[in-house]
Amino acid sequence: MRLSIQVLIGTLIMGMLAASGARAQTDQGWSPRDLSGVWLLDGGTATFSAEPPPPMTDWAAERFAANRPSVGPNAVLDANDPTLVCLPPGIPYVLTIPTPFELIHVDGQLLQVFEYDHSLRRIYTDGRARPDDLHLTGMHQWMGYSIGRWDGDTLVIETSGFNDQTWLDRSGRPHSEELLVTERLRRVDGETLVDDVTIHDPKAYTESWHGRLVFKLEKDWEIFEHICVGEDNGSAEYSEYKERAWE
Amino acid sequence: MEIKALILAAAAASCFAAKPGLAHHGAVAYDRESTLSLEATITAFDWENPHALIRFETDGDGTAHEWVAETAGLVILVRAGWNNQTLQPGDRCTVVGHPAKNGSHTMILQRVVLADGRELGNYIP
Repeated sequence: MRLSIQVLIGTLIMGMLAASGARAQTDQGWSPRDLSGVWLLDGGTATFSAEPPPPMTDWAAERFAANRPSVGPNAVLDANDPTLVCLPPGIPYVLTIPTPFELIHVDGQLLQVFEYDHSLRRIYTDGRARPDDLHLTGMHQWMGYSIGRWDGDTLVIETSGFNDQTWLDRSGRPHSEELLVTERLRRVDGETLVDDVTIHDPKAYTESWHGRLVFKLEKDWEIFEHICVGEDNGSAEYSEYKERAWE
Repeated sequence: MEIKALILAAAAASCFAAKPGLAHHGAVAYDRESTLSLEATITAFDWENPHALIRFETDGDGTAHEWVAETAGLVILVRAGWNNQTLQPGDRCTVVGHPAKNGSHTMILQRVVLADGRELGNYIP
């Protein structure tokens, strides 16, 4: 009986603490499972990871040698980054572009609306399984196919089904159709979103590769258009300028 | 009117310094080790994507030179406080940036100091 009372009191205290915590979150104006808002990459970066990449396979090394980035330590004037001709950037590349995105919760999905090219990433949170055969059946996706599930207050997002035409980052790191990107996305405070990214691509990398991106809430921002304009479709003035400054 | 209000709201909400923007074309053409601060007379302001261009003249050495400064994309400029009326032909201002390595009197803009002392920044990838 005494044990039961102790358990009851303990349960009540825990309940009060939990309620108190919930109120505190409400008072702060944010909840860890509410990712809504406009977010901007904290700091510029040419890659999603501060860690050196793991050893590449011969297949990937050959591709990497042919890639010519426009930013970073290996930047060259005659870059061939696929985004320069307005091909979709893919995941995680698009997350390293320092233009904002908006996260919107809708029933069964988390929508990630990127200002960059006004593109949409649909993350299914309705419990469906990730199709693991998209790349085998010809349904390659530039931005992949994403599902998400909550692990505590962390949203675990798995994205696969890619083609192999995008780069992992602006440094020109390649990936294959076997790419699986796992993100552990969590709101650590009212202003900060942390995205721990893991690259698993056995065709391209001999080990998994980890990185972290941090995003800051931009409370007063809304998403505008940042439409990609290709090298051949930009303004005539800029094309003329580029010849003068860059050649 | 709504668009104007929107732009003003976005400008008011932004910090004075430019927020990061798209590093689409990079800045490898420019000498990041060198910074020029030029007293300028604006001749044109090309408010167009993918990058706005500031055309100006400078006669710092007694010889008139025509320069062009490249900026970030328009959304990035708006969030940093710019709009398409920020610079007008004939305006005097100070243009600060990294010059092109090829010596072509072009630069990537760091900031502009307007005649009234206001500074407007730019994002450099």
